[in-house]
Amino acid sequence: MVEKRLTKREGVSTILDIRVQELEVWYGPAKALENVSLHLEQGAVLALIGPSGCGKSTFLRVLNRMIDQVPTVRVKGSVHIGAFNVLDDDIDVTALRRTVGMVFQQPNPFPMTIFDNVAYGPRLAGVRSATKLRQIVEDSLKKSALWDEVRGKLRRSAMTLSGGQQQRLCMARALAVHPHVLLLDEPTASLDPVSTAKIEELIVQFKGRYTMVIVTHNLQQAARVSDLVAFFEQGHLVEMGPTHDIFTAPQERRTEEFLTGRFE
Amino acid sequence: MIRQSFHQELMQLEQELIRMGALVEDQLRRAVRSLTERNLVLARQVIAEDDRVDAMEMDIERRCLTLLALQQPLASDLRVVSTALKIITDLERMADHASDIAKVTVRLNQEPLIKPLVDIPEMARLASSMVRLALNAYIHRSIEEAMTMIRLDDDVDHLYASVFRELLEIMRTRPDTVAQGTYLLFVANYIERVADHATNLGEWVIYMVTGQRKELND
Amino acid sequence: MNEQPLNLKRLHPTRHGRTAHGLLAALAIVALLLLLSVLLPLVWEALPALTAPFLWGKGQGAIGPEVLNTLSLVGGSELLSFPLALLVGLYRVEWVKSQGPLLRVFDQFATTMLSVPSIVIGLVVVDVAIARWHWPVSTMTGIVALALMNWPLSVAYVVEALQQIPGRYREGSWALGASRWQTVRYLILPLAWPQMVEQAGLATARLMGETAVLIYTAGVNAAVHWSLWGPGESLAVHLWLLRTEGVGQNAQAQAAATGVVLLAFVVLVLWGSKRMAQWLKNA
Repeated sequence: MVEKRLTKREGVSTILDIRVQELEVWYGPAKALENVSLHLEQGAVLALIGPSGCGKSTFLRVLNRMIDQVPTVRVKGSVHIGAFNVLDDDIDVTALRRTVGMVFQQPNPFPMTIFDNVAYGPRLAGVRSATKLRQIVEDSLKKSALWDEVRGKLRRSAMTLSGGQQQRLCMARALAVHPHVLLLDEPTASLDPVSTAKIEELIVQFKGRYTMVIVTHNLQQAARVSDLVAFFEQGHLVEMGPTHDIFTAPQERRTEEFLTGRFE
Repeated sequence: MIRQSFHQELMQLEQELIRMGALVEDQLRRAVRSLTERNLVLARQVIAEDDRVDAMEMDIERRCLTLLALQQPLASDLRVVSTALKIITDLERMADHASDIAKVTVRLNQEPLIKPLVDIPEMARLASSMVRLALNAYIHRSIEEAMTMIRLDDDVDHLYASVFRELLEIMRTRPDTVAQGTYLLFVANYIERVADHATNLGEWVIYMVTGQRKELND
Repeated sequence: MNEQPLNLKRLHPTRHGRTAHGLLAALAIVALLLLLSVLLPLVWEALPALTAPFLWGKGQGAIGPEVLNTLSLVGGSELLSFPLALLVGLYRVEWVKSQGPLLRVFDQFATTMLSVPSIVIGLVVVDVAIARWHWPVSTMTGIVALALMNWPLSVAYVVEALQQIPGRYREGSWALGASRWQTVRYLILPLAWPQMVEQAGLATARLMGETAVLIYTAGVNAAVHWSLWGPGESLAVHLWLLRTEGVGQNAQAQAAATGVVLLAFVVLVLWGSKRMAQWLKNA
C-alpha cells in the first residue's frame, strides 16, 4: 500500500522482480508446464530458450495472465511480480498488464495513426489532456528510438511503417503505460538483421530500468541481450543460470545437447 | 545429431591438434638427443622443422576462427574450439624452445662438455612425457589424466633447481666453464618452460571438460 | 499411365491468356446487354406514368403511401434487427471463448435460419402475431416479419466482419490492460463498421424487394396515414399486385413506373451505404 502511494505521488518507476514457484499449466489434459520455479531479480534480462512447444511461450503468457484467453487452461502454483500475486483470481488484471507490458512475435500495431497507437493505452487509463498525451507519445517514441524517424508524421497510419519500425512502435505502445516489466515473445522473429539489431540494442539499453523476459529461438540473440538464460524442454525448466555459464559450460546434459545441436 | 557437418569439422580440428602435439613432442625429444649425442645434423633438422610447426599453428588457428565465425559454437563445442586456440599457442612455444635447445647444440659444436649430462635428459624425458600425457588427456577428455600429468611438473621443477645449483657451483669454481655453463642453464630453463606449457595444456583440458578454469601451475 | 514429357513448345501462355481474357470480356458485355434489354424497355414503358401526381399525389393510383410504407418497413426492420444482430454477433465473436459444442449448435442454427424461405417466416408471423395476438395486418406486423427474416443474415455478416479483424489486434489491446468491452468499443467496432454498414446496405436493398412475406403481414392496401398499425403495402407488393391483378387502362405503365421507383431506391441505398462505409473507413 505504502509503496503504491509513493509510486503514484513521485512518479518513481519501481522495477519489479519475478518470483515463480512450482508453476504448473495444463491445456485440457495436456501438461504444458511442470513444476517450474525461478527467481528473476529486478532489472535483469531473462532469455527463455528451448525447442518449439517446450512451454516457454506459455510461461511468458502466465506472467501477464494472457494465458487466460486459452479456454481450457488450468494454472497451479504461485507467481509474484513485485506486490502482484499474479495467479490470484481477484487480482486487477488491468493493473497487472499495465505493469507487465508485452511485445509480440508479429508486429501488431493497430490500423490507426502512429499517435493513436501509442496513445491507446494512456487513453484507456483515462488520460484525456491533449498536451499530456502528446508528451507521453513523444517520450515513449524516444525511448523506443523511433521518434527521429516518425516526428512530424504522427498522423500517418502505422501501417505505412516498415516491419522493424512497426515493432519499435509496439515497444513504444507498451512503454506508454509505464510498465516495469516487459515480456518479449520472439520480438525479432519476423525482422531483418538491421531491425533486429535495433531491437536488441533497445533491450540492452533497457537493462536495469525494466525487468525483461524474452522468448527467442536465436541463441546468439539470447547470448547478446540476456543476463540469465532458462532452458525449457517439454514443460520442464531444465536449467537456469547466468548467460555466460549456460553458453560456455551448461550443467545439464540436455542443455548441452540443445546448445551444440546434438538434440534429437 | 543435427549439426553433423559441423561436428565432423570439429573432429578434424582435434585430429590436426593431436598431430601438431605429436610433432612438438617429437621435436623436443630430438632436440635434447641432439645435445646429448652432439648430433649437429639432427639439431639442424629440428631447427628447420620449427617452420612446419608454425605453419600447423596458423592452419589450426584459421580453422578455429572460421568455426567461430561461421558456426558460432556453444557450450562444449565452444570450449573445444577456444581450447584448441589456446593449446596451439602453448604447443608453438614448446616447439620454439625445442628449436632453441637445438640451436645450443649447434652453438656448442664439438666443444667437450663440462660435465656429463644426467639431470637435463631426465628433465627432458619428464617434460616430453608430460606433453604426451596431456595429449592423451585431451583425446580421452580425462580430468584424472590431466591432473596426474600436471603433478609431474613438480618433479621437473625439483630437477631444474638441482641442475641450477650444480651448474652454478661448477661455474663458480671454474670460470672458464661460464660460457658453456650458461648455455646449459638456458637449456634447463627451456625444458622447465616446456613443462610449464605442458601444465597449461592440462589446465585447458580440464577447462574443456568441466568448463572450470583452474590455475594449477604454481 | 504413360506420362508425356512436358513440351514447352506446345504451351502458349500468352495466346491462351488472351483468349481467356477475350472470352470473359465478351461474357461481361453479354450480361450487361441482357440487363439493359430488361431495364430500357421498363423505363420506356414507365415514362408515361412517371408524373408528379402519380409519384406524390393523393389521388387514385398514386404511390406516395407505398413509398412511405416501404421506407418505414425497411427502416423499422433494420432498426429492430441490426442492433440485435450486432449484440449477438459481438457476443459470439468477442466474448465466447470456448470452441465447444454450444458454439457449433449456434452456428448451425444461424446457418439454418439463413436458408429458411421468407414465405415460411411470413406464415409463422401470421400464425403467431395475427392469429394469436390479434395484431392487424399492418406496417408494424410487416416490420416484425422483415426483421425476423433479416436477423440471421445480419448476424452472419456481423460475425464475418468481426472475424476478419486479426486476433493479434485483440491481443495487443488486452496486453495493454484493455478489458474486452474496451477492446470492442475502441478497437474492434471502429474497424468493423465499414464492412458492416456496406453489408447492411445490401441487406436493406434485399428487404426492399421482398414481397411474399409482406403480402400476409403488411397487406396489399395502402392509405395516407402516419400510423404503424395501418395498412402497409410496400412498393414491391404494389408492383406485384398491379402486374397480377391490375385493371385500368394504364396499369402496366404504373407497374413499370413503380418498378423504376423501387429500383431507384435500391440503387440509392446501395450507393449511400457504400459512401458511408468509405467515409467510416477514412475517419
